[in-house]
Amino acid sequence: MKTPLEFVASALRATGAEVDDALPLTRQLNGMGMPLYGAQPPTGYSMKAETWVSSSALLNRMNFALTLSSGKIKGVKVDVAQFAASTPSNTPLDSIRTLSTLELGLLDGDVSKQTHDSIASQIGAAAGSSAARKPVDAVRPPDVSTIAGLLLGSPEFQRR
Amino acid sequence: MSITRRIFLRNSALAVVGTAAVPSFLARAARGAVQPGSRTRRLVVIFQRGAADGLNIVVPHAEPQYYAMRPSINIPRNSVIDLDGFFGLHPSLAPFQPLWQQRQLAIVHAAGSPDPNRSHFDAQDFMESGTPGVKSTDDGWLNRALRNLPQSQKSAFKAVAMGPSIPRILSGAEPAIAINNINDFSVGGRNPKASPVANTFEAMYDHSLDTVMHGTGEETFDAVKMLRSADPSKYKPAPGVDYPKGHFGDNLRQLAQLIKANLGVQVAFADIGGWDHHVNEGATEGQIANVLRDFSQSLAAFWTDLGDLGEDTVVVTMSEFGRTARENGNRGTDHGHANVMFVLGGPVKGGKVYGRWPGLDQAQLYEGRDLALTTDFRQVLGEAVARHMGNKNLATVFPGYENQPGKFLRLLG
Repeated sequence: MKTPLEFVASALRATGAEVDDALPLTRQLNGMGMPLYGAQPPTGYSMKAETWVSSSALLNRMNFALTLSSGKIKGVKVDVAQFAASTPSNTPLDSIRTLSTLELGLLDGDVSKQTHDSIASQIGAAAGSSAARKPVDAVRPPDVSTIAGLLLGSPEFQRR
Repeated sequence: MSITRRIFLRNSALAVVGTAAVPSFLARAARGAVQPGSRTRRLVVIFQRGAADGLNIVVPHAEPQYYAMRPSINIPRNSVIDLDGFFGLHPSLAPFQPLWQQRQLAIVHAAGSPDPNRSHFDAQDFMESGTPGVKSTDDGWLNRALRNLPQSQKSAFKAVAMGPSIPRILSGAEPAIAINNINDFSVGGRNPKASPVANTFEAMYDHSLDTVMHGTGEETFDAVKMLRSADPSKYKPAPGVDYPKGHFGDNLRQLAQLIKANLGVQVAFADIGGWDHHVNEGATEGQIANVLRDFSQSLAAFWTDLGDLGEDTVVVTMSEFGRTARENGNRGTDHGHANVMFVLGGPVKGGKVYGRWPGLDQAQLYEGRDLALTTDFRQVLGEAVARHMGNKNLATVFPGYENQPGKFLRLLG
């Protein structure tokens, strides 16, 4: 299991984020219970997985993943669009291609079938809903930043 | 990582609950009604971080030495709210007066940790681990108090810390949850567009073959759904209850919502900072008066807001150490030793100051400078854990401390 610092740092590296101001990120780390250089002496931060596994911690990580990939963290520039399929039209097929590109780009393709299928089925559900020709109710397929957020918040990305 | 015993136990407990389509605790919470005969006893622990000045909070106004040692920051006799002819409350604690008169509020003076350490971090750490002087304890006493608790709730909200992360006091093998804002306790916030994303995350973790991730994910989404269905936001503060604005009042307001929503809260923790008054502490007005106003208004609001649920609730306050008996050269006080604790609740035999008063004469001071300690904080907490929560195994909760029930202050009825 990654510590919060490892999780945040690896998410920044994987997305190729440019950090102009690290303070918002340190605030995120406070929220994850691992203030930068703020460990209680003398033992330092725990390297045991169970310290960092909890419901609130997991919610924080999923929310951080979504916020980061959508470029909403101040002082941090993220361009996940670089991973998008080349065609500009946002069809389900493009989304599946984008998913595959992102799996390679963010996790070096090391994604479980379960995670892949869960995201693919959200894309599929959106496709089904468009096919029902109710444009008002149609659920838009997840965009590239949402897919990236889902992958960064996935079980695989929490592991070292 | 290997599957720890903790995670295994947690998962198996959830598996049993999960065999029904809707776990029974979810259904109960959704109905929002207390089941007849199932009263949940609660312990709420409040930490005043930064070392509160106990001598200016519960003032020994009949001690001439108190006035001699604090020429510019004392609370004058005619300003204190007299309690028993010897002690009096700081005037900012006026919201506590009715609770004292109704005998729901007790005070323990000259209490705290016996460790001589005057570092905030170490002393807070010791009071949270429950093992003064032992740095290697890796869990908190409030977490250990949950172990083998009789009538233990199978609820994700059994142990709640109000704040961004699990504090030391609640960390350990028993599952606990940190809540900063009950409205944000979800994936993607309240945005309706977020729900497909939340569903995808849930499916991902649900299907994950990684048992730890699967278990934590299940616990997380159960808690999110449980909170959503109990909808604590509909529990507005009771009529006439006015929480002060700010971090502490907000946290207690939300904690009352979780308790009133019948989410099975058994232990809870909240903290309030701003007590480290080395410079310009103030007296009846000023820094200490302001933080005490926030402290007492928030706690009194919380108490009134709980209504009948207060019958099964005990609130205990503590701070890492007291402050010097003498004021310093900056009209403030420095790090000291013993302090004052408040105990509030239905089962409390209040209207009394407990503990032996050690006196403030030079020879009576600890190391010649601080209020001496006559009650170990673990004795007060031990009584709450054993007699209120029903966990008699105090050797596990406070290892290394001989907590004899015969020595309890008997401040709980």
